[in-house]
Amino acid sequence: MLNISHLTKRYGDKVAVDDLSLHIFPGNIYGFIGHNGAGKTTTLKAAVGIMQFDSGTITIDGLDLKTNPLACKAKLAYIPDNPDLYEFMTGIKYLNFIADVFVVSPADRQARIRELADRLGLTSDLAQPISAYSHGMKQKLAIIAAWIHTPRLILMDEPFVGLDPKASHLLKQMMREHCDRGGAIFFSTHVLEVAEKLCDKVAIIKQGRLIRSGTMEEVKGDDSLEEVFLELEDESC
Amino acid sequence: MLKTLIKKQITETLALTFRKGAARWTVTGGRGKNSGIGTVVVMALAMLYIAGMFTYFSVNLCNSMMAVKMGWMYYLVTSGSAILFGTFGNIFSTGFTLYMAKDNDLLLSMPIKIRDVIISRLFVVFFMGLLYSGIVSVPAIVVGWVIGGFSFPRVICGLMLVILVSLIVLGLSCLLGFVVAKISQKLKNRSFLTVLIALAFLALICFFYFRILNRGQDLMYIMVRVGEDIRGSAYPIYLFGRIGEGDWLAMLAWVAALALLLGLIWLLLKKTFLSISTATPSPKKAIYKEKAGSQRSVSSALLRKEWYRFSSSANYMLNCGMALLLLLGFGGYLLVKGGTLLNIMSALGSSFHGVAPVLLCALNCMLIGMVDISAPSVSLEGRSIWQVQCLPVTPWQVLRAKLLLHLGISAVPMLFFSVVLMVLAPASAVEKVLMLVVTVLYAILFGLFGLFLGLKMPNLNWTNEIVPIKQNAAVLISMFSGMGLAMAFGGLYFLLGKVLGATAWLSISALVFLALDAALFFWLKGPGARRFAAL
Repeated sequence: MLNISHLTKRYGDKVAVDDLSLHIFPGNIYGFIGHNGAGKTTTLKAAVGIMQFDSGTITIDGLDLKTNPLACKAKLAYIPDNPDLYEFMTGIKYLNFIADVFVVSPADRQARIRELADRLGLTSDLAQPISAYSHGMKQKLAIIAAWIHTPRLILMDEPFVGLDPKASHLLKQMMREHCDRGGAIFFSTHVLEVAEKLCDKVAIIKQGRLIRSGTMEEVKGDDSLEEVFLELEDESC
Repeated sequence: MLKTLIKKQITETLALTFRKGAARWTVTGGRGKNSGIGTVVVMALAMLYIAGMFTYFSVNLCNSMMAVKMGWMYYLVTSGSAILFGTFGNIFSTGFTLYMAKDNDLLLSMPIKIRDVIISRLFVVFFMGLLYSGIVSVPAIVVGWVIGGFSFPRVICGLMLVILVSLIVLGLSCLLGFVVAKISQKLKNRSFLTVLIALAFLALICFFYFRILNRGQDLMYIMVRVGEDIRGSAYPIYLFGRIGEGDWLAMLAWVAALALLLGLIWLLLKKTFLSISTATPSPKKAIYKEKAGSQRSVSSALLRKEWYRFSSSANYMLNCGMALLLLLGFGGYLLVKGGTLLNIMSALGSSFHGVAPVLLCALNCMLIGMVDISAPSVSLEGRSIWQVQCLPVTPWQVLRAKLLLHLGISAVPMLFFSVVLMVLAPASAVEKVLMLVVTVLYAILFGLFGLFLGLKMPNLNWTNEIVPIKQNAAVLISMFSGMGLAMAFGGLYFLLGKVLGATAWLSISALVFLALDAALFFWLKGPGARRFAAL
């Protein structure tokens, strides 16, 4: 579904992502792990088409992101690490805006907003301006906006930050349900326990280079993901 | 600690105003160079331009008032103008700087005295007030020295007057900023209400101004009469004017009075700062009622998003849409008092053929060129720009929505004023149609030009929306270019009009504006859209 091939991104002289290749299949929850500044966010932003890259290719369902950006973007949803949403809108206006852009019919959007907002406990706050939302509420709204158009691929940057335990649990459920329906999820996280329990596959990145990837078993073997991650970090130093 | 906080405030203000690290990365991959220098130059030119206008006003007023031995009245009028200019320019930023700064929570959670936080914020408010009021008061004082003569008391007291004016601006800004912050806490549609209050304030000034003019008396005679009244019944105000003339006692009296007033304002701020700056700005929780919405097209959704952005901000509406109110106001005034204009234009037309339609069209263009809604719209995306960049919409669709908002909001006031001018102008039918064509092309030009500037000088890292709306080179350049080009269009007619005539001049201008429209349109669709995608 998402194929990243030999991706390289430089900021001036600094190489942020160096010849990175990943392949995410339908049904996969794919975790992306690395220390701060390793290149996770840059990779995610490149994969959703909001950051230009120097070389390599990114395809979504076989469509090249550079040559077919709109068709690719129509298939995906993105939740950034800090959900800077439109604070001048109310929650419901924001969701309607997203639904309009993704051409979701009124009946479908109404049903999905009802279902998702009820699940995440945000229904009573939908008429409030987003500027009055807490970080967690913004995160929940971003999740509803991401799910509202039933995308094939969802990319998330540290999605569990700011969520309460119940919402975290719900998000994990929603991620699994999405992949069971044939969708795919690619997300970055620092919470290794979550990654270990939730992900089908995982990739570890350091200083822009992929240092290990594969199924959870292939990556960690009999150790914990935390042990493997720390070991790999030390080896590369 | 206070020194560190003031340093932080200055660094933040300068960095945001002069675009240090404004866009995340430029299209070419590196941070933009020399952009700060460019902004400084633009800001300096804009300030010189405004200061020049006030110098011209001051010279005329000073000569007249000194001739009737009422120099104090000159200083009173110019200082009053400086206080008005400074307070109006500072009022909204004060509320944001003091109470709504995004780092309030961070600073208040640290072991820092609240007093230090307030003083460091007030330092910026004072500096901005000094900047705004100084544009008026400094030229006025210098003109006063040149015309009235230099002396030690006049120089010292003159300088003190500049400082006292900026301190009054500080006090008024704090009081009004406090009121704005209180309104923001309690009301639902506060942006519209704030606009209404500001407009009511302006309408009041205009009302008194026109009342004085309508008395049909000589302005100088009125000023002398008012001056005598002030001296007789409002002695402290008379003393304020006396400061400029080098009256030590007047200066000391005002320093003492102002110290007392600022002390009281300080107590008010200190007492209320914590409760206002940490309050949740949600007066009454709106209740969500599920209802079936309608399906909108992508273009319509993007346009609505731009409208929500515009209508949610009193700063945006007042600073970038004020000229639209001038169009409506002047249009309405001309409907009532059109006869006077008709007489002036007929007299002008008899001495210089065709000058009436060109000058009226230039006036319309100048006002429409001052509308700068599109100029800050790119920067206003701020940190949420990722949103439109990852949606399945083209950059051009986003830019087009910004342009359509600019033109859509401008359309009715522009057409209203155009129709009034077309009815009043002593011109042929062809000239009248050309007046409208030129105005429409000019409005499109400055909608496009604003976007062009916004893309060339983006500032996405602001923490206070005042920065992209007011302290932004793109907005200043757009506004002054809009005025300047219209003046050139009208002024050049006096050079070339005798040869060409009004019809030819309006046609040539229309063609020039059309060519500029086309050039900017294609730039925005191509390189401009790519630049937006890469922001």
